[in-house]
Amino acid sequence: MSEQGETIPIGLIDPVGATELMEGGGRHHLLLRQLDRVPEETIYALGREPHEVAVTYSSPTRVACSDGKTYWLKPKAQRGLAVELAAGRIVSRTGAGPNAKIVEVPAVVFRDDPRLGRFNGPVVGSLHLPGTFSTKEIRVMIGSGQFDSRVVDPASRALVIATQTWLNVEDAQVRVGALDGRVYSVDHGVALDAQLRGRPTNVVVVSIPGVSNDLGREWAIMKMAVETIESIREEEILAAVAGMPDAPGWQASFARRLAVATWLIKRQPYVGDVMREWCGVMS
Amino acid sequence: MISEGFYSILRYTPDSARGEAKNVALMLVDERRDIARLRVAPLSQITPKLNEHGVLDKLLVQFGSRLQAGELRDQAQVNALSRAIGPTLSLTAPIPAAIGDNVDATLKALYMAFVAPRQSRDAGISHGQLLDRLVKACRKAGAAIEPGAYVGDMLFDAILSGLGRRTPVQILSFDGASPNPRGLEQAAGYFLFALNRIHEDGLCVMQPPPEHAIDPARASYRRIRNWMEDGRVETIGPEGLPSMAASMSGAELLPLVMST
Repeated sequence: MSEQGETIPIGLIDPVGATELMEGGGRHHLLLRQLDRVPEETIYALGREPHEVAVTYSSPTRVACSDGKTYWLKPKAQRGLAVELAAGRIVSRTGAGPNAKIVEVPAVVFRDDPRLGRFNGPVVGSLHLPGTFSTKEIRVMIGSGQFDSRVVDPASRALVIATQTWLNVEDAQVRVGALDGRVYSVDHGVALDAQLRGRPTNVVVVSIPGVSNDLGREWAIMKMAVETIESIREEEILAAVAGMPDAPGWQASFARRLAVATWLIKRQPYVGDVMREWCGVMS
Repeated sequence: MISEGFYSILRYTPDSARGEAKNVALMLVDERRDIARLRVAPLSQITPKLNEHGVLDKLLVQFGSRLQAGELRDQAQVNALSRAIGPTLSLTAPIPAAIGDNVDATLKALYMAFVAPRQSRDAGISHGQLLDRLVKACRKAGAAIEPGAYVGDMLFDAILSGLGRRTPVQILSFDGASPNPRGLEQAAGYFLFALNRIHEDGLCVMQPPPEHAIDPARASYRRIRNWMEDGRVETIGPEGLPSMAASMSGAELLPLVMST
């Protein structure tokens, strides 16, 4: 592994001045301006799920939305909702995780519980994945014989590892389909932040109870994941950071979003080498 | 334009001691526009037991009638009802909802999110699903139908009523997840015996075996069709349900293409 580079918090970067990170910056700048003019179709929350037990401040909440789908709402993220949404859009594009959308939450939806007023306004919604379980739930399910860890799918595991490594996801989380064993990357509130110059230095592997950390660590499988990541065009990466509200909690200034996209574009070509080495294949 | 309203979920608990409730329907009320809607899940996916299916259907029909009659339009009424009914059929406390211009689209989205049973793929059309289709076709056409009902001592898949007569119905599907030709023959035999006992004309709704079906299923299908013909029982396929339902309600369907 190469030496870890200098860390620059994205929020401090001036995209005009950071020339080293801004190769092709003028074009990216213009393209992002254009993409910002094409608004994402707004979806709004219709109603929350019935609460079986009393909710706490940190309880996640699921809502049905106007596009006919169900989303988990995220009213805040450690590094801003812009990061959560951009990473969600990228994992959806690679197929490593559920799509993320901007969800407008009318005040009526939580009018019966003022504690949940924090969800009002534009927040990030992560598409609900029915029939999937967190690693914490899987640990319990294995104990009671309700989960067979042999079903876990190596190809989707490899795709999640490669994608989370590219996005530099910290405190990474996955969910696993109980029947098909497909692995999904979820919760990306702590990602895309450290401006590590050069190639990724850490391979992000989330442990799944009952499953070897080496599942998916075969180049024949990983190669497909890398090809998927490499197939994502610059325009798509810029689209992932486009059209965000500059509302409180979002940290979605134009400069910051452009810096995130540029960082992703610069990091993308290194993913193949890093994953090849991790799989024990010398280039 | 978003309107304020609320929704409530109807839950079915067949065994209150075990307390395992299933979501069976969703009620949506737009208080400002005074609109109420109810969407019910396919009951065959809630319970495979025919008599339970019948009881649950009756409860939901009663509930739907109250809603239609203008009851349960505000949260206080729903709260009172949710405390009063049960334990078999219960109602969640009203949950706020943002209702768009299209109330039915909002109803569908909430129903799909919180009530709709997950569909298994490529499992064919089961007995229960065919029964659900029959009930839906009849209710849409305004024909009276009672699923899982007795006539005398004999239990039938459904009883159709209309035009001054009642018609017991048998459902037979050769296209379910695991069709059992012998079991279907026994069911057909019971149906013919029961019709004979109560001296009524019957109707048999049959889903034919799929193309890849094994020979015993095909042979059994032909055998049962012959029995029904011998017993003068009308047999229709799923595609015939809408026109049959319309004829039972007294309103024949208009032809799709009308000649001038």
